[in-house]
Amino acid sequence: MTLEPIPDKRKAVVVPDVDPEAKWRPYREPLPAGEHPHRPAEGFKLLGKRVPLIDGPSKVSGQAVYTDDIQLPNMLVAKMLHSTRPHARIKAIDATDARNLAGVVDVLTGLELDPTRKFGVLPLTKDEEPLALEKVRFIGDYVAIVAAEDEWTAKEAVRLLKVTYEDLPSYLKPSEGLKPVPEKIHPDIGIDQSNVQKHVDQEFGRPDEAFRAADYSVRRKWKFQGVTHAFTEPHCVIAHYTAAGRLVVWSATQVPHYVHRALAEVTGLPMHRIQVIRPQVGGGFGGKSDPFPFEMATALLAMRTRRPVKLLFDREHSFYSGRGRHPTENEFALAMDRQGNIKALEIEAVIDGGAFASFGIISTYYNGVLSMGPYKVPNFRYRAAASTRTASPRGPCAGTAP
Amino acid sequence: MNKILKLTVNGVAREVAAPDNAILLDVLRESCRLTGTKRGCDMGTCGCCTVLIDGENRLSCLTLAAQAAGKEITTVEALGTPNRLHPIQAAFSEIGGSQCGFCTPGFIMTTKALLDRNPDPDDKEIREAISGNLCRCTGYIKIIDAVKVAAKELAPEPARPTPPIAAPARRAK
Ligand code: FES
Ligand code: FES
Repeated sequence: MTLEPIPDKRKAVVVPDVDPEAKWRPYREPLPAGEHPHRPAEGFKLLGKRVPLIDGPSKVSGQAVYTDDIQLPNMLVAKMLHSTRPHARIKAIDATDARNLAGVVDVLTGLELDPTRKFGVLPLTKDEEPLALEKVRFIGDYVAIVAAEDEWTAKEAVRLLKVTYEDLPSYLKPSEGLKPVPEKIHPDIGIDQSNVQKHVDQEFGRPDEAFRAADYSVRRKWKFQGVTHAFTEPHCVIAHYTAAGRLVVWSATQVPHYVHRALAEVTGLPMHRIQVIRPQVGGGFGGKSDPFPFEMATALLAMRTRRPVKLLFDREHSFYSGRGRHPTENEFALAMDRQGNIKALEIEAVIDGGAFASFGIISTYYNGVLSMGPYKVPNFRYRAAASTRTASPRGPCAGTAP
Repeated sequence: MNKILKLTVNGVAREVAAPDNAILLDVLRESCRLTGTKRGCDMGTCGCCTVLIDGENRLSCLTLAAQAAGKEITTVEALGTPNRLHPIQAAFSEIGGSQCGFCTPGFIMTTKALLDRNPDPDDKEIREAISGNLCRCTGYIKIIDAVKVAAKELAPEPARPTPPIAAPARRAK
């Protein structure tokens, strides 16, 4: 990488690239105890020792119970109709054929929901709906849910649902949302007429002066394309509204308490009548830490049918729903002195939050706060905008920062 | 239309009513209630659903139940219970080759097939053998360690020379 000298002191420095001779080694022999910094030789009870998981034996013997392993008596199978449009108004949903199919017990659409009962993981940004109320905001958005006696009937019923959409402009780049837009993704959220959900400005020291006084500086732009967790267990939820008037929900979630709170908001039940059980979870890495619309929709369906209902996503919809790390457009500038000390860091970032806020506000702050890594940075400026986009929602992925 | 399928699962002969196009994974999980075999992707990409069919590791989500009729099907439940783990299971548990555990039954069955045909695999052979199984938690290093430990554990004891039997010491009266 070549550094760009600031105009008055023309001196370019070439920073050597990573040693091309260094071999990439996919597998390392475990270092013997005593040679590895984290495995001291002797004298510790736990440090340097393998500590098997207490639930290891149940997992390796196939006895650990994950959500999809639970089978309740008289349980219905639910399937979701997902949006095929990135941004569209729902004009009508015709569920006649689906309802008339033998074996179909119930069909629920957003048109039947209370529009005031929204939820979201952060109390500040409750912008999610159990099922799309009037418009869909990403391909894969939740339009309707069907409960049937078996999986094939449920799938067939979903196929029979007819949705009339009116397409709205879609925003596929995060930066598109910064300007005023013809149709906001969330009409009541977002700064002015844009899709920007949050602006963050952080500054300390005197970054401008530091850049002027620096011996070298470099400025680069790049894009981070976003990643998904790809946990091995797809999303799964079971809901049961018992005869005693208790809503019991088993979900492959990382945070049952968020689900508990959101269920109370959506169903209107007091919290003591809701129980959320988290069985073994097959990986989450952040992707199962939001309360999800499909968890709410399954619970509502269970309350309507008064039978246990199970919803299991296939891999495709787990990808649509799993809230991977935010794609980001970054511009970084770094000022250094001749000894290689960092003098200032300036960052501008546009963070793509996808269709819903999720943990977006936190991610917007963390993106700046964590950008210094372990270095001492005396002067710092960070400006970021988190923008919604008509694409899969984004959230924490092995942490909360992009 | 359902038909009666005759399957041998973990040594037990079973008769299961299933349609012609029933998938082995569904039959194992739903009809036999053997939920140790996991459904990770349902399309042959993750390896979570690996079982042994006549000793060979197979993806049960890509196998018709009818194809397995009359054959010996082995799932993770057949190897051991938490109090009497099979050496492969014990190695995965103790070495940390299993974290969330969702991929684990698949890895264990793949390992079983590998060690049955090659009791002393080297690194490359292990990596090749588990290349069809995805794990998102462990980063594979501990899984490879676990396979090695299991291989060592399962290796037949080297024949040792029999120690001469010492004459019992006479007790002084
Ligand atoms: S479930 Fe069979 S390979 Fe993933
Ligand atoms: S232990 Fe979680 S995916 Fe392998």
